[in-house]
Amino acid sequence: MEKEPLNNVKNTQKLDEPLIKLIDLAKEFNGQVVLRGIDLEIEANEFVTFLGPSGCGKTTTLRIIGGFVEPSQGDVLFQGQSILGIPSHKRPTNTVFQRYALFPHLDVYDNVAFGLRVKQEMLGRFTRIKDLKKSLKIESNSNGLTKSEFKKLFQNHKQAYLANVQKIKDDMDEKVRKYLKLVGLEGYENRRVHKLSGGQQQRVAIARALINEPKVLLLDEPLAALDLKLRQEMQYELKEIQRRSGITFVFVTHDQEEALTMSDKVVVMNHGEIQQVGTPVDIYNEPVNKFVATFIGESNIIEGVMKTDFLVHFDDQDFKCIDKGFALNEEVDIVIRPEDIDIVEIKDGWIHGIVTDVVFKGVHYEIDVKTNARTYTIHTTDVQPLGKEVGLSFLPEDIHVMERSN
Amino acid sequence: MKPFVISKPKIKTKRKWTFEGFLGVPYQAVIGFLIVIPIVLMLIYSFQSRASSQTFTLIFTLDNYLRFINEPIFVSLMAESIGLAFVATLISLLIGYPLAYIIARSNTKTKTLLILLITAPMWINMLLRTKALEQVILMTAPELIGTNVAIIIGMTYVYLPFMVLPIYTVLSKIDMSLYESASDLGANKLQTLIKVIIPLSISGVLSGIMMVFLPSATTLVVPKYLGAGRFLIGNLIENAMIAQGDFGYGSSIALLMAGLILIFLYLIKKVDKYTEGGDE
Repeated sequence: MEKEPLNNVKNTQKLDEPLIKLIDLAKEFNGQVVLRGIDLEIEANEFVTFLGPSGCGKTTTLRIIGGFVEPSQGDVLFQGQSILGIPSHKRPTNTVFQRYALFPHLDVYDNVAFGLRVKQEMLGRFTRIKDLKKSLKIESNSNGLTKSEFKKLFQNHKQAYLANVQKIKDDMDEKVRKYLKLVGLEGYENRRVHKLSGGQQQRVAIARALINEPKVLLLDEPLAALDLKLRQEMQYELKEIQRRSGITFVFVTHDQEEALTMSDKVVVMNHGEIQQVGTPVDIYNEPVNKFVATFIGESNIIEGVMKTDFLVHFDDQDFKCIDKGFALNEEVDIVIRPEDIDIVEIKDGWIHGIVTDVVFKGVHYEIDVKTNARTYTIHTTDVQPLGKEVGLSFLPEDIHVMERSN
Repeated sequence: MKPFVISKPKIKTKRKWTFEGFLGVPYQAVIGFLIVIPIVLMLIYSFQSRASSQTFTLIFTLDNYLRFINEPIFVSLMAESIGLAFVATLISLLIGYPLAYIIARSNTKTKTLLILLITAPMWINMLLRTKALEQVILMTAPELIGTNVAIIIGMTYVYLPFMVLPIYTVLSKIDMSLYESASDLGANKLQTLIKVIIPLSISGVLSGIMMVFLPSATTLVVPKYLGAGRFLIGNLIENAMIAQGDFGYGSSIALLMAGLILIFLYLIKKVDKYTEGGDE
């Protein structure tokens, strides 16, 4: 069943509705649950990232929004209206596919113009001259025009019509060039797409999607195939494009750095479920469980007991912390980020241990310190000699207490 | 910046027996003995007069060609053969393309079954199949036997699999994400087909056309049974060669036909703009 495209109803949207609302989405493939209980709101102009390991359901969620996969259960609301059952070519979304899916038989220009051209055809603006003549004939017959009068009338209409067609074509051309400029591909109009580098192909894919001025741009790991340097450049460019265009971006990635750099909102997923939704800072500093803590950045994960509010026990010691709201003596997981631990003199540290490993990582050293209870990983710019006994210190706010997950 | 100049050192390459070269030997033997030599012989024959071909004196005469061209019936026969083959090819394409599209887009199980069904008729001798089709037509619409319609039905029936298979092969290689991206950009299914899928499958269509057109144009069996013994160009050659033993005349007709078909193929190839760009 096909419904009307949503462009016609955009004025009827309620202002308090989020742009996209996922309600209790679930998906099964051949009896295997790949997605369950997905509830999420995406606001207009937001840069939202689905982050998770491969097979976590992030791409499936994106494909459900784009209309390529039907969910087994649940609903997708766009500005308060369900878009399930609307085919992808009528949805207000455009997609940048993982391997770009550029049309190999078209050059860069034609790839970018593709969306505009099919839309022109759909709107039927290019009505045929023959049809024009027919409709004029009916009109003139009822008005009783002579043949020569009709001919003149037809010529006038034809001129106006052709001028109109030319204008549409010119507008289209201008727009294509504008978007090619936006992604920095001026002068590449006539290149075959398979002759382009990965980064250039990716830009074509972005321009091709953006030119349709979607309400939402879906990006399925678009940077995965690029090398590190280019990836970092594209991260900033994408963010910049998003800011300038005001289009909502929904971005899928397994790269935590990418997610943290670009997003307004990160949705961490695992095993088909949402683990945590929050700003990059929230996700990094206050992970809700062990999975999020380990997936986002490196962590020291410690099992401990929450004695009372603001007091946590681990490694045979009590530590002050800033977390509260747990049950008395509840078993918890504790995260301390490697860069939050300071290496100090033994007497100044909470705990002490021996340096067992030092790895140079470029910006910092990664140092393993073996204590009685465990080995801590520490990131610091100061190198320590192997085998040295050192103290470790951290502040109460560096201790992040999470519910124990199984 | 100073441009790189790489001077190629001149090394005398001695032809060596490589493994790959060795693999080519059977094919080269086939080409030499079964294709090149016979064609050369045909060429020589076609320029011999009937009398001279019995003795061992080689002469050069255009008699055979002139004889064919001066016989308006024969020339029109050739045109008729090509015309019928053209129509049969067109019909095969109109049936074959949608069929190949359906097969390519169905799931693995249906795919296997459909491919099996399409290739199944090829397991049975073509003569028998044509004979069987003749019986079917005789039973249902006997007045068709001997008409162009029956011949075209026969050609389509016999050669349709050769249209479907190459198109299917090309279609199944098209990345599924191209269907999705076309749809994503606003194209409905028909627009996707016209703007993306057909241009990308042109190479399959062209080989399908060749594989149907060539044998159709020179078929012996179809006109014999479905055409009620009507003569098409294939039968004419057969008659000259086998019944009358006139190798020179038969060869000249065959070569003329081959030349015409070559021109057709050249024209068709010109349509194929995409394939030189290289598939992914």
